[in-house]
Amino acid sequence: MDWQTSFAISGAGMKVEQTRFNVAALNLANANAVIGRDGSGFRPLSVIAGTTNYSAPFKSYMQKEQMLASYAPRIQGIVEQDVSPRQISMPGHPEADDKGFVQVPGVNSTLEMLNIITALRAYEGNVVAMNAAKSMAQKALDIGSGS
Amino acid sequence: MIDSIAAYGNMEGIGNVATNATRSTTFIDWMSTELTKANGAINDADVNLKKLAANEPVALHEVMLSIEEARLQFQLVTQVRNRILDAYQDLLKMQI
Amino acid sequence: MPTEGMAIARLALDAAMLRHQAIASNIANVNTAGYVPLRVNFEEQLASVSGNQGSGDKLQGVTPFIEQESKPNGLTPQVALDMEIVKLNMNTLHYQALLRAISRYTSIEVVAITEGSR
Repeated sequence: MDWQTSFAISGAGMKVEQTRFNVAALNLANANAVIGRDGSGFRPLSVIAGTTNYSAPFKSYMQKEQMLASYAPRIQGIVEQDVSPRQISMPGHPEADDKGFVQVPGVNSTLEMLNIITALRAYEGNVVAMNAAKSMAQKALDIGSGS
Repeated sequence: MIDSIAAYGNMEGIGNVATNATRSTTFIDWMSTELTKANGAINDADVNLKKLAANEPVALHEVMLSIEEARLQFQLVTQVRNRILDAYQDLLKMQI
Repeated sequence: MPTEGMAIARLALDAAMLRHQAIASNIANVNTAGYVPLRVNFEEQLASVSGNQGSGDKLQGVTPFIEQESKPNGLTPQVALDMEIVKLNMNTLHYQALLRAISRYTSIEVVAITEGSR
């Protein structure tokens, strides 16, 4: 197992969690951004994260350690969530329809808060893993310094 | 007289010592194979050092272990050489 | 005469110092608009000379240098702070590993010079 792999994996994980955090924050920030009558406006987004390599069972790649890095997570896409907008009664709003309703994105605030917390914790986990990899490698450098 | 000497000497045993002595002249062979091994180990360590320097995928412990292996192997040969030289000096100083 | 490994390790230490400068510059400019991240060009040069089986001078033209990062797909590269920190950690570790490996490797020669008396 080469020493760069653990850093590459942790780095990829941090990238993914960063994106998940950004998207959740974006959803929360736009939770009350009114969608225009023409339908133009924000739709809640969600992140599709996956591994690069689905093709073979994980265990067989564990044996070929060089391929481990190809299992590092990556962002496969950011897609719009399939939720309909919420209707809020706001008569007199310039974008209100004839019944006095405006549309705002159907952001599930609870779910987005949960995403933020899990992304944060997973990010911390990646940092811990990277620091552990570093101190492990530094221990490997101590080989032979006893004499 | 001859019988009594024969009684002391287990000729078979002396023969063994003799064959051991002729075999021990091949110490130089041992020395040369060990030295070749040490040289090979140092070359391996050099290759690993090159990989580490070129940022190629290589495990740090592999690099360090190969270097230590080479160092120990070479140190072994050196120490054996030192002991042999000491023994040679002792033989030279021996009163006959 | 230094071995090939030692010669490359020496260049790699130079490259590690330069890489530290590049990463430090990237971190310092993380909020600078229009800043193009820097990187160090070294491994590419090594790879290009590793093919020719000439005499000892094949490392002659290899000099690590700092250049601007470029993305193949035409996107402007951006500085990601956490990725720079990851790179910084890797570089620090690489530098330490090189130093330690060189020091242990030269201790083999010390054995030869001192005839194993140390």
